[in-house]
Amino acid sequence: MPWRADLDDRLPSEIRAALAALNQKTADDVREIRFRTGCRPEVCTGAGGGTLPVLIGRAEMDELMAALCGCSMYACEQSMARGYLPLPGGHRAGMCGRLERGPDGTARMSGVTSVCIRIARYVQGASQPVRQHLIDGAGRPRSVLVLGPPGCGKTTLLRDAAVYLSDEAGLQVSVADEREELFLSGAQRAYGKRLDVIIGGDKAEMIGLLLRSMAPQVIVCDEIGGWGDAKAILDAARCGAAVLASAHADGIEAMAGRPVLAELGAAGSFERYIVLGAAHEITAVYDRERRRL
Amino acid sequence: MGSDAAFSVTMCICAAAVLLADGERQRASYVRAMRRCLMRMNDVIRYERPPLAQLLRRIDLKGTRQDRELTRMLHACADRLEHCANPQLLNLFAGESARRSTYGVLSGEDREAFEGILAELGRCGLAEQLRLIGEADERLRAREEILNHESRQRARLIRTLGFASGAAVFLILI
Repeated sequence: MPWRADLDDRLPSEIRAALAALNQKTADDVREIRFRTGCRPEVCTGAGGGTLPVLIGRAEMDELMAALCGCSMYACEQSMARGYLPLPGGHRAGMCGRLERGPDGTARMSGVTSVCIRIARYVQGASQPVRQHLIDGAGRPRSVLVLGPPGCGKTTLLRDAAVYLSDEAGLQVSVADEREELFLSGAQRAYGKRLDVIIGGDKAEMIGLLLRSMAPQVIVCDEIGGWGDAKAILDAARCGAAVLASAHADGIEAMAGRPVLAELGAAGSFERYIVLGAAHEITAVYDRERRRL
Repeated sequence: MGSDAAFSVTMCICAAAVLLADGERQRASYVRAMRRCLMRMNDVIRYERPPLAQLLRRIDLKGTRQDRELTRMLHACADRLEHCANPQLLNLFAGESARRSTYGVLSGEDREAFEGILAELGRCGLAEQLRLIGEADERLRAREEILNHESRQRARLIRTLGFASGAAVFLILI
């Protein structure tokens, strides 16, 4: 996994050197790297993890933020105000600090005190156990919602499923990649044989653009959140496109506690619900009426 | 023969005086080029917000020799930015400017007024960035005023001294 090469020019030299010292087995298993002011960076792996021999003070955090922004913080304000920065290689840095509104009404994140770099993983075959649920008996794509807690592998599954639907099922797949996590921006090779990716805008807006311009049979999007996303998904269904999406929910029952998901469920937007557990395993699959299969 | 030699010496002294005065003008010209550079940075950042390397490449001043020199240095920094891990723009610029003898006409205060902003580029949000560029421009404007004033005074003094000493030498030699 070349994540260390991907992030080579986006980390201060001290942190880069500390990460370079990790052995290859540990490096391949890294899921997240967490930085907090006043603490040593925490490297989270599948087997647990540890800390780096660097202390992050205020100056080091400022240096880290400048490096993550590619020395162009003024160009990253909009993204930072949404709490994340896309990084090369499809990785993502989430952050916490002071969120304030300027006199012109625009939101700004300043005084960052925590950063969490999530390492993107392409696991070929991650969607293998659920591929029979992605397409019906007549070869038509189903609308599927992948549910699970944070960090359980929803994005990894979505990524592999999108490539499967494009390359093996022969469907026209369009991806609305709001946070540049699903596929690399500016990739030099094709994402997939029939896979089109739009990156970086508002998810609902991107879904609308894709419906109008790319004639997708399947639309893939990650982390459904607000009512705008729900409306866009309902529009997609009315236009005849299947939707493959993910959402944070700790099980099918938790959907009822999230009004947006409950509304989509009540509207019958999804034919299948795939629930992932915290250990990246598929715990259950449900049909449109939320009966366990 | 004596009057020929006297005339030649007089002309040399006057020429030296004019050249000294010209050095002062070059300094002021460089400071003006830096201000134009900052104005361009302000506009590009405000309306386009490109990444830092692209921002430096968008500085494309051509009017004077100093404009072109400054543009070349910033473009060289942009090239190196893209091939360095977590580069410090100020250090890159120091390396480039050390290679250019014409940059040496500037005093420490002149350079500090401009290079201070290079250390801050890309390290803060938009509003703060534009504010810092405005402050740097104000520092350079103050330097330009001082230089213009000093340059006029010194140029007058040098010309007067030059012609006076040339005339004195001429009288002595003839």
